[in-house]
Amino acid sequence: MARVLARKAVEPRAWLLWVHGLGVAPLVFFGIGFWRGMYWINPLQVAIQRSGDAAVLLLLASLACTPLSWVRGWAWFVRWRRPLGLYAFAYALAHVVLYAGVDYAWNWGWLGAEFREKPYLWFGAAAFLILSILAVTSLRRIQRRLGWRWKVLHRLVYASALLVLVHLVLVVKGDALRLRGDVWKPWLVGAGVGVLLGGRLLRMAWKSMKRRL
Amino acid sequence: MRFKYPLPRSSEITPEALFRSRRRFLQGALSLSAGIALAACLPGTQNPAPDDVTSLTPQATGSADERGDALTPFDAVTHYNNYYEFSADKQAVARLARDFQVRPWVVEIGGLVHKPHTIGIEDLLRAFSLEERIYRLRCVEGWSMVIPWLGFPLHRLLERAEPMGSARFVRFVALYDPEQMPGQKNPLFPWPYTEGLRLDEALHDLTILAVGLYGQMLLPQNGAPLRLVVPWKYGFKSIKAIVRIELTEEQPATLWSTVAPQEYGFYANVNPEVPHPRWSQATERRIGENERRPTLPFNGYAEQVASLYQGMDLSVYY
Ligand code: HEM
Repeated sequence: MARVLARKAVEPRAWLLWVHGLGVAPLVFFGIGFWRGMYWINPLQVAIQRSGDAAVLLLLASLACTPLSWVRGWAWFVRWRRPLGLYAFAYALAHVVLYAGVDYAWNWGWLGAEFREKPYLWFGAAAFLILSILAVTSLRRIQRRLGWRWKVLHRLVYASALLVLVHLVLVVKGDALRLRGDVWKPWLVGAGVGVLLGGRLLRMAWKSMKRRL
Repeated sequence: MRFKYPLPRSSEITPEALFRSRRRFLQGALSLSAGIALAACLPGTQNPAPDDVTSLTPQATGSADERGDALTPFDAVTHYNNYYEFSADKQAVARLARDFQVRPWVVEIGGLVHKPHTIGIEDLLRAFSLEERIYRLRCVEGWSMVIPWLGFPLHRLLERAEPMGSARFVRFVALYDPEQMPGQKNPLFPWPYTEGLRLDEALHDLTILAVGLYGQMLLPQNGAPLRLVVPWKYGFKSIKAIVRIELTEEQPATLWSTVAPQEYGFYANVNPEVPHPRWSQATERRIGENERRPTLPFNGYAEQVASLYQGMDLSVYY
């Protein structure tokens, strides 16, 4: 135990760099690609797609922190959860603003028509709503005020991940369930969410079993 | 100027005016290449690679379509290509397709015709006089361009082959060559790319086989050496790198409607009234413009083609 605590104390300096490195990496990659002229013809389409990708990846990274913290000596991983989750929210916010604000120029008539007819947007919007609530309630003050409820509320992050998965299944070109078309992304994200959520559920089951024995 | 592949003498295949404008442009080619070398230093503007010489001399006779919409710049037309045989990344296709071999190239015309035959691309270029057609291209993804194609109406080729009375559809098959087209190694698509038209659509004068754009031969990324252009349908109907044209009695299967039938229909007429599960079909983004614009029924060609679909429920036959 003492060793674990000692490591925990050593980690913080390095971790800030890593967390923020991970967080801004997608933006840096996009910036380099943009500067090299890889997206100039239809930059908005690429920006909407890449911001969505970054949001999902960081959301998965944030979800991975809890299982990683179970490893002996890695308890400090729990502290990555919040910043990575906030980065995920930031990219999701950019994704939504690029779509509704830039592509559709806040044209509510057009946006309304799109939302009425396209289920993929319902799932994306629900996921975004959850992420927004989690982002706001991640402020330390609110966190303390919510107490045990905070923990329950923030389990919604898994619901958000599942909603994003459906958003992604519906948004790719092809039929993800029949494995036809350009469908590797939802399978990748599905595998990630599956492992991370499955891992937590398994551990919960294992613990409650041990308690009963 | 050097083309990558032999061409019949331009005077043989090109209308006189176009030919002359191209000559005039040749003289400007040198100064133009200097300009491009300069522009290459600027960030944000992807320029044709130095060996991409053919792209130094784009020239169209017209500068806008019949509605007054300006041509999409040559660089955008040749560097933003939905061509899954090479890549799903539209701006990567030009690079990946650079060494694509377009000679020798033989096209087979068969199926329900009295005169099935094969024809080499050079003979094809000699057999039909080329004309410039400035068409809007509307991609199902919700973006669009205006492109000055060089080609000839498909009906000229079909009439030569003499379709039988029983022929009702035309099936098009693209090249299958995974060595040259790395995207075809993706097993999740039923390669080769196939497309189809109803015979009356195929015989419509707006339907052309294109061999060039902007007054020069097609570059590989645009579907060289021979592609279909059906301006009132979503872009995916306009199959590229055609090797076989076949008349059939049954409606042929097409690649995208096989991949996701609920999204991509056989007809795929541009129609703002029929929604797609992902992209808006009510509005579109013209490449180079900031604001979305409303999409027109039949991509603005309703007057010429709407009668083909009289009595059909277009939300069923999408
Ligand atoms: C109101 C909320 C949302 C809206 C309106 C929205 C809109 C869109 C649109 C229009 C696309 C398709 C872009 C295209 O293919 O042209 C897309 C794709 C995508 N979205 Fe969203 N989205 C929302 C929420 C989210 C959230 C919360 C996430 C992730 C945390 C997300 C992740 C993605 C991903 C990964 C893609 C696929 C990008 C690709 O093709 O690589 N979206 N979204």
